[in-house]
Amino acid sequence: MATIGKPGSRADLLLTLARLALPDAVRRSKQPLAVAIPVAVLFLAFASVATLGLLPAIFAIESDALRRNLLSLIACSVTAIALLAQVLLRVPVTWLLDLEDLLRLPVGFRDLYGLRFALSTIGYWLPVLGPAGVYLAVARSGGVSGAPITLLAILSLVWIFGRTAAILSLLVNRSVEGKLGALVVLEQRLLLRSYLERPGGDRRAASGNLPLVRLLRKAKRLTPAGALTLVETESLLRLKPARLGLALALGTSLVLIPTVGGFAVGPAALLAIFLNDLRIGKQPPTCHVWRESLTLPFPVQGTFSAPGRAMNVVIVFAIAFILGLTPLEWFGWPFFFVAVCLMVAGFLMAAATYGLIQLRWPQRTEGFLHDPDGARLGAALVAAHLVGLPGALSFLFWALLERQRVTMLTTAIIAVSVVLLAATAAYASRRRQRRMLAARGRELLLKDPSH
Amino acid sequence: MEAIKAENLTRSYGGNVVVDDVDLDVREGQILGFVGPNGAGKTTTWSMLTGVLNPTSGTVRLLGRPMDINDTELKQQLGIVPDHSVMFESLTGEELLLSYARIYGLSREDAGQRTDEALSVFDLEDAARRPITTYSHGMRKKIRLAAATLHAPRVLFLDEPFEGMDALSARTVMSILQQMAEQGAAIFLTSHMLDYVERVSTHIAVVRDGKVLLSCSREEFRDLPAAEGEDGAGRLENLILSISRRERFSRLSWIGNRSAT
Repeated sequence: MATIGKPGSRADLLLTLARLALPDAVRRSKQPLAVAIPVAVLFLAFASVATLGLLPAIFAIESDALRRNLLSLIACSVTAIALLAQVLLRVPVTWLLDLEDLLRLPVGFRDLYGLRFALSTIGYWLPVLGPAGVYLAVARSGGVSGAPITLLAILSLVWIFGRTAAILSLLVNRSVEGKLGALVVLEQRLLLRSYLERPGGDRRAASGNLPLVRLLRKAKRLTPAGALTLVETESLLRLKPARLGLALALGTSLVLIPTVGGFAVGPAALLAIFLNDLRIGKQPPTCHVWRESLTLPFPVQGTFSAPGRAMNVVIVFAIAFILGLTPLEWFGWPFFFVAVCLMVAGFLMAAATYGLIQLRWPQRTEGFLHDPDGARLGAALVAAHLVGLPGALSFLFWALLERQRVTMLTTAIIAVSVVLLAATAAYASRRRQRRMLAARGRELLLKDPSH
Repeated sequence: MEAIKAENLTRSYGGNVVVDDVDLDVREGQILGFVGPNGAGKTTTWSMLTGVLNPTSGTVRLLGRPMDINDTELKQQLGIVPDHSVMFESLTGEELLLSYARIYGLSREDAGQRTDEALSVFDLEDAARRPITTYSHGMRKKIRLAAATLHAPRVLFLDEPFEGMDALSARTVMSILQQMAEQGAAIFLTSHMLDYVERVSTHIAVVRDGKVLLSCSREEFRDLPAAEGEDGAGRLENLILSISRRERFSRLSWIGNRSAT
């Protein structure tokens, strides 16, 4: 066995595991190497020809409509060919690794999952769509400098389609509870736990379909939402309908996104927030707020790693980031400053509101259908999206600024004041939470059905 | 030094407590045989100790450090032999051992040397170049055990290590375990092969319904009046029988009654 890297080093370890995985994958797929390798080479050759020869020629076409149609045709054809080849040849897209056994080796969960994910994505469609996608993104973005924005937009769309496909595939498999117990997550996160912790039963059979499920809670730093993401990723990689959705999303977004540019990012992000809400069956920031509340005051990074909340916060900030950088619609530094201030304020207010709501009405964690009090739920729902409200306000300020209804100084003062007020409110809320926890935290925790 | 230290280890599934407030203390050089009837909580305890299962409450410390599935430095010093399958079954036995040696950071020379030696000691030389899929159950156990001991772990966990093994292989395994213990390794093993456990363990813990009923050294165990054997059963087997819930041996009504069929 070839030596790569220092024995015992992380690189050497991962490469050894990757080498181990290869024959395992081939064995499980029942696909002889003699067939799989030529197919891979053919696809790679096709990709190279497409990238180096065909695409530049297409971009030389002056007619917008003809160029766009040709690109669409190529993207869709390539995707279809790749999918067809997978079906006909039964080429493995997912290379299975038994994570539970691997976890006993001196390697961390994240490394293992990263390796597993990396191996899983080495489907034969990747050499086809990969180079072509990068080429498309760079060429249609008006150059290398604009490419990151376009790539981000593509990734966000692919992510959304991928997640949708994963959720749909989980729903489709709803009846096969024993096979894929994780689907119940969509109804209640608690059921995921009950599945994972079910004593006895045919866990081996279940793990044959989704071995990760058994391990989700084993990595001690893995939050419930993180675990859910891994379940979705697993289902995406393993289930054909999900892979189909992902591949089609990738193919079409390669064509669509460069056309519409950064404008696609906003709607995509809103859809992402909606999906994030849907996937955990409740408004995200309330998940396990207890855990974070009990560890008050938590560090700044804790804000972003808090289960459920993290994804929406990241999405909102990603919007701000993309809008801030997009060359298509640069609103100028004044607007950017105001937008950032207001979004920070929105985040602070949402966090503070949620902390209090969670403390006062912990039963809200049971979700929409189980909450007997619509008013409280409504309050929580509004609070969840407070974080997005300042985005709209910032646009309003921008419009006013543009029409010279307000001066820059006034706008800046208002924005900073709002941040300060929000910070004060957040601080007061935290103090209140801390007092409440000190007084009857244990009692409330025991009442919380999520623990 | 305390190599395996578990305090108030509890694991419950819903309202069902499978492991209940278990304390364990295995020092370097000791072999703890963890035994009990089916469903007593042995494997659950084993899984918690090896980090694969999080305890509901309580703590596990190995070699003075809290057990963390992401603590790779700590895991470098552990050897784990689970009850079930060998991974990477498409590899040959030799390939598996060489790979494990690499994963545990052995040099190429050491890996080759130890692999050859392990294959010889475990009587797997003839099967070394055959895929593990062709191995018998006992051979799989042996190759797994060989893989787990290649790096001379300081703590070794074994779940049913003797299952499927012939008498000679079991004796070899016991000899290796005793040799490792003499060199300072701490060993935690669960097994239903009570005779073997009794012979190889320096300490014995008996568990039932998730609770440790008895924890003592082998010498203390032999002095126990309750451990006197009956009907040819070993002392440990007799003890397990005596604490089992079932008071009598069951009979199948149709056995010995041919007219019923």
